[in-house]
Amino acid sequence: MTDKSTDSKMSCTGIDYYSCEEALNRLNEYLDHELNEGERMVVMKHLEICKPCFSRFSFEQTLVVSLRQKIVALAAPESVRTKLKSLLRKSAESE
Amino acid sequence: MAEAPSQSVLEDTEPHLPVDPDLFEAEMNPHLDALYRNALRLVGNPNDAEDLLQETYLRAFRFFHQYQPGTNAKAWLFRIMNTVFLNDYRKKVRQGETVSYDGLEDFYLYNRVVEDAGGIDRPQIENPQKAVLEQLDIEMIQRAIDALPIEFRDTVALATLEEMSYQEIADTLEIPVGTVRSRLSRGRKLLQRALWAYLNGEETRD
Repeated sequence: MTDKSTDSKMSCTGIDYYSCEEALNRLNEYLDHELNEGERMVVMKHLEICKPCFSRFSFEQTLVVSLRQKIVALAAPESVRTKLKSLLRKSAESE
Repeated sequence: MAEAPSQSVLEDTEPHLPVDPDLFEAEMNPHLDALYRNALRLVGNPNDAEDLLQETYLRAFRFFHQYQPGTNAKAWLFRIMNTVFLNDYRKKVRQGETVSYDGLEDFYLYNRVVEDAGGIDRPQIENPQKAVLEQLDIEMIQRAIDALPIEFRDTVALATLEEMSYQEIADTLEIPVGTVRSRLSRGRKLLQRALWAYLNGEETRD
């Protein structure tokens, strides 16, 4: 699999581990804990030595976490829970 | 060992076995909030979402004998919801906005925040990234998700908001894992673009 060469904005030089682009290609999997342990370590190594990527990845991670934290407040209303509870029992009786 | 359930769930010809409601609730209710949010995303308003949730929940109860304990209850419920939705609400599928994929930038939101903070002197704000994230509220997040084209909406929401694994998402939406990856890759950039737009359009709200 070959990637197109990265644009200049993303580059930081002198890295023996993943390049910025290689790290970026794994951003989502990194955020979603989908990388295997080996790949995760290589991404983390890159983040240790590349400050721009570290800032970007940290931001992405914080974004995902804060979206999640906020959305959990959106819960099934108590009235719905109560209704489901009684419907379930009605349904069980009718069978 | 119980008979393997047929691949197509929810055939109405399946026999209904009596199920203990308490057992069903213990297994399924931990996912009720996530399921409700999924219904909201699918139909877009609380009334229809409650109907869809109810229909899904009762149908899951009727077909609980097809559920294998210890397997992924969340993915199972979500898949039932998708089936019910496609059968009963197809007309209501909301397409999202038509968006251009041109110049979809990596780290879109981060770059905007950095530009914004660097543009003028802002001694008051110590951490502009954090400040921006704090401004995001539920309504904005929902609107940004809703604005995503339909093919990205589920995948982005399930991975980002509901913390589902790629395999769970693939099982839920009945798509290959590779498709989950590619949708996430584009979809999250679109999401960031939408979030930025809402953050800026709503600066005057209190």
